[in-house]
Amino acid sequence: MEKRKELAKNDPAYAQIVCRCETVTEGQVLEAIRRGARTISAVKMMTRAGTGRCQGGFCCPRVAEILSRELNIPLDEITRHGGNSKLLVGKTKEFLLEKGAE
Amino acid sequence: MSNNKNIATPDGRQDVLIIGAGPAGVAAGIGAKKEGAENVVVLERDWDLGGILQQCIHPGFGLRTFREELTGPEYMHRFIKEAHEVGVEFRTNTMVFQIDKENNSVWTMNKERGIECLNPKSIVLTMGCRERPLGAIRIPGTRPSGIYTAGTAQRFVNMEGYMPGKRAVILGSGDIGLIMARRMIWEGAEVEGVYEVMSWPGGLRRNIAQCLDDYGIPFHLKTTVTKIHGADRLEGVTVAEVDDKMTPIKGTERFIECDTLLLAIGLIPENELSRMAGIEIHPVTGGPVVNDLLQTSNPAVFAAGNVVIVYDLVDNVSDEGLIAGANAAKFAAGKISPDIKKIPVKGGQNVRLFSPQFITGEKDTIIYMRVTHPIEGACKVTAEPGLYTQRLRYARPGEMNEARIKASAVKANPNLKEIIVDVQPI
Repeated sequence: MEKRKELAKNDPAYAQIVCRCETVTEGQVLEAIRRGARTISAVKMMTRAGTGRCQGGFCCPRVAEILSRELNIPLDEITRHGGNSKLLVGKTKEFLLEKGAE
Repeated sequence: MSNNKNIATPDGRQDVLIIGAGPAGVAAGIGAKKEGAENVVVLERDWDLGGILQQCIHPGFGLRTFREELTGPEYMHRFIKEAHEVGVEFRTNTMVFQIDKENNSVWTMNKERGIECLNPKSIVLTMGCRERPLGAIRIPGTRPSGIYTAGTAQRFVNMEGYMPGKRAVILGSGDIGLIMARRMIWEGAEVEGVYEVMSWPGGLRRNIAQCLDDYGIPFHLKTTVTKIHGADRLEGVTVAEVDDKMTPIKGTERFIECDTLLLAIGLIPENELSRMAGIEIHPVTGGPVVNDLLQTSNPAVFAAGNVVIVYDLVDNVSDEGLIAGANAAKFAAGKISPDIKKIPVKGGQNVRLFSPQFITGEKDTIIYMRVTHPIEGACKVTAEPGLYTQRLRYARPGEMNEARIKASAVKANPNLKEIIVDVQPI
């Protein structure tokens, strides 16, 4: 508790919850990215975000957004564990247009 | 609008502190203010109000409450507007991470406020529910990307504007899965089919008709996913029919190529905080044991909505929120007697779960229940001894039943020892 209070005081990102099940803060996710995490799995291993009772149901979209923002890459380029394990396959409207063109 | 001035009571304590600003929490705020509570605060961990209804952009909400068909955000907007008008204070981006059972202290975390400890006179738990994840059903095979609970996929599509895949299989027939099947079609993806391990649908009949039948999406009962294929991205699943013991039948296996598997395999009330607060949790509903005032085993703590029992309709959730909020306000004002009468409710042979579990007889009340086995024909809901009877055309596990109990009927029977609710064929 004291450590949480201290961290939250110095950097508000440590008082912003990303993973509600394991009480992982945005500060912890940012720290993991600074230390080299590039995928959802890496963030999970380093912070416990996504290891709790909902298994990433709530935090997966949030962690993906933070990765996308911090690494400056589009959301649909974020992978679960590298390689071809992309989370998303494109934007909704693009997707419909593509189909219409076929 | 969202930051009403904090009108603290002289001792700085909130009269009613509500945890979660979804439909139950916002209604609880309104209920508490209307009952006369001065300082009513709703805490919300998300940056915006409305809970999961924010991503429910399809229509079908509010048919009971407003007699019109609204989308989730429209429905919520009406309640949020009223809550602001009556002076409910909301704190967003505020996560409750601990409740001390000794003194009901509530610990919160927020970017601007840091870590705080609140000591309210009463608490309303309105944390809602969460989806059962893949881990809950142990399917053999790999764990590639492309597997989501229906609600997570719904967030990606409806709020972020991204598609989780192009060809989906849906496992489970809960309402969010059915709604997402239609959404995937609308957004240009294919839905190969919906697979349900039980011999009846998990969701509402109207959603089967409007989301599957209208789009020709095949619906397979007594069939489940038995294996997941693919290393990086999902490449396909194996499905198989199951026997009466839910064991896959050899020879019925079939490989389906797909890049997405959506799970709609049930919802679980979100009660980690309730457990921390030492509140008694019902083993079947997974929510707090409550009386008809929606008071939990801790007299200062009330609970409403999907955190108590997973409802079919948001209208019921809002109704229960109003009741819990009003009673929490009464408790804060010392208007609820500690030795209130409590008549236990019991479920009959064909009732799997029900809420509330105790009746005080202080007011008219509704006992909500789900049947264990479907009845496809004339049947009736009863609350014995002789408190309620209602004929029905059918009863299904995916659709809740109600028994309406009159306070006058409870008061008229001073020897009432228990109430038994059941749904049986006629």
